[in-house]
Amino acid sequence: MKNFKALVITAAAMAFVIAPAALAQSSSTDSATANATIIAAIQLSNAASLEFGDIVQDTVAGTVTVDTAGAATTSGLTHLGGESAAEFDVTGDSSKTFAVTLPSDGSVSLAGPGPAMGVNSFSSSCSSGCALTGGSASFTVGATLSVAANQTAGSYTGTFDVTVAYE
Amino acid sequence: MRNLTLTLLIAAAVAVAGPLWAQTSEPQGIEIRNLTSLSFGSFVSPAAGGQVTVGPDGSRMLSGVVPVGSDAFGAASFEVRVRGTGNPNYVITIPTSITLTGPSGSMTIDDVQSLPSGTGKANPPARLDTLTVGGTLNINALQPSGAYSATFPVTVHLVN
Repeated sequence: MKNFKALVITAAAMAFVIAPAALAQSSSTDSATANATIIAAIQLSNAASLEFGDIVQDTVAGTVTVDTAGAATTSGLTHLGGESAAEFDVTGDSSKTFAVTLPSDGSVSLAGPGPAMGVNSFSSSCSSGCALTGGSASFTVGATLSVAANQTAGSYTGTFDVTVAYE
Repeated sequence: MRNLTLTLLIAAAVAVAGPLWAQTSEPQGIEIRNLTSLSFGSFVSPAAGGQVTVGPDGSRMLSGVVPVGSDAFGAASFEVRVRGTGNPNYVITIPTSITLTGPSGSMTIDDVQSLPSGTGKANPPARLDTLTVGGTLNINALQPSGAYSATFPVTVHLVN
């Protein structure tokens, strides 16, 4: 009986020693969050072309500037109207703003029956920080056309690229 | 008398157990705790799909995607603590892939990698280690816009 008691007590003592070890973790797991955000692609479409209008041939060279409001001003030339600014529509994420990249000088010209006419000094109604209210926006583009002395009469056309990008 | 003997014996056992407890000091154990998220950043939905890899070192590589806006990125980080005086080595278990879900679609992270890779060591005396996790996010063509997220487990096992 005494031995039995001793055994029980020893077992109790052993349990005391072993129990904390049994509580220890031999493995542990925790979770992390993974995240990414996707923004709707920004899209640009041309809604109206840039029109310099009707310009009267002259013996001296001159320029016609169409501003972003679509108004024309000339130097040394007679202008008969028909001008308008180019218009572009943009769609994208309403939480973002965008910037507009216009053609650089010397890169755009109008071809027609006579020598090509350069189009330079492009301007935009919004160049940076442009808002996409409700996910859409519009902006207008103007530029300056250089007309040579005795420019051959006729219709002249060209194309130019405008790029928009999120900021 | 018998009761007194028993009481004395128990007292003796406790007295013996006390010093034993002190001698075994802290039991061997391991704990992992998440500190930061695995963040890939913000991207314009790509027309043809693309990939973003955030390495476990926190570096980022882009393929076919354009980052935009408030574009924070980084590897997930964890703190690993090994208790006791035994082997400070541990084995790392990470998912092979993670699926991020968003408002109208999902994206998959694969090539999940940890640093250290496979096994780690919480060196004494601190017995504290930092474990980071990265992976490659696959963005689908015309991925719907929105915030995508998931949780993923990282498990560490003590090496006996």
